[in-house]
Amino acid sequence: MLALRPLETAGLLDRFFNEAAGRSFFPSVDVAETDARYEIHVAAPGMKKEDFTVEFNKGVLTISGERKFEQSSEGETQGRKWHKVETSYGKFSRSFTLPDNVKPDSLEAEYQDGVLKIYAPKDGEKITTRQIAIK
Amino acid sequence: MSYAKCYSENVYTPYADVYQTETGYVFEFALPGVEKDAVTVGLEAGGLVVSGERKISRTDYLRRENPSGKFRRKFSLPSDADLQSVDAKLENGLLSVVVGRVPAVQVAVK
Repeated sequence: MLALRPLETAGLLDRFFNEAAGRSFFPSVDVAETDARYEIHVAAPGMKKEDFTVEFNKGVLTISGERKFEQSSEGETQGRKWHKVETSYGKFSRSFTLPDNVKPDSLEAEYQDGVLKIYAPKDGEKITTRQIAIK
Repeated sequence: MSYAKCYSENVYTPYADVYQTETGYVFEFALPGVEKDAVTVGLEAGGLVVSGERKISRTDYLRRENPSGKFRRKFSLPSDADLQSVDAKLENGLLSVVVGRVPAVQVAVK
């Protein structure tokens, strides 16, 4: 389905260098479709639900946020000696064009087990394709 | 950015952050979408082993970027690690394993 392909603003090279420099990253996303809705699952471990912004504007769903270094876990952060940092920190943003039959005012989002899930119910009534008679 | 590297088709390796404090070593494994019951934390031959499975039963995906199936990661522990003091908790997809450190014995120089 074309409509649910991610709409990335950065090209592959930008993406590579941004990630390498630790400025931003692209969280992994799974997209599923049931009879009733579309689901977008963003893998973002060690965050709080307040860290996310989910916006829907003119058919485009944008999920953004920031995973702050040394704030993902509790306790004293001073005096830590780091041996290995493999997980991603920094700002992120991913956008998706949703199909026309999504009800814009009934989108829901929940954060559970380190995955942000966005549910976009389908409008069963809405006719998205139409045959045009040739005169 | 994914949260794991895949070494083979069957087992993936979750990414981890590791740091030490005054009192212990902390291993933080990125395990988004993994339930507590599906994770095993163990010690074997001087190493810390985290293994488990991210089960995916649904088949209606249009796009998949996250790994699923079995995962495993092993870290060898330094000699001052206290194997009697290992604490693990899984919260918001982040598994924190804290291994205590045995304080060094101070020998007085006469």
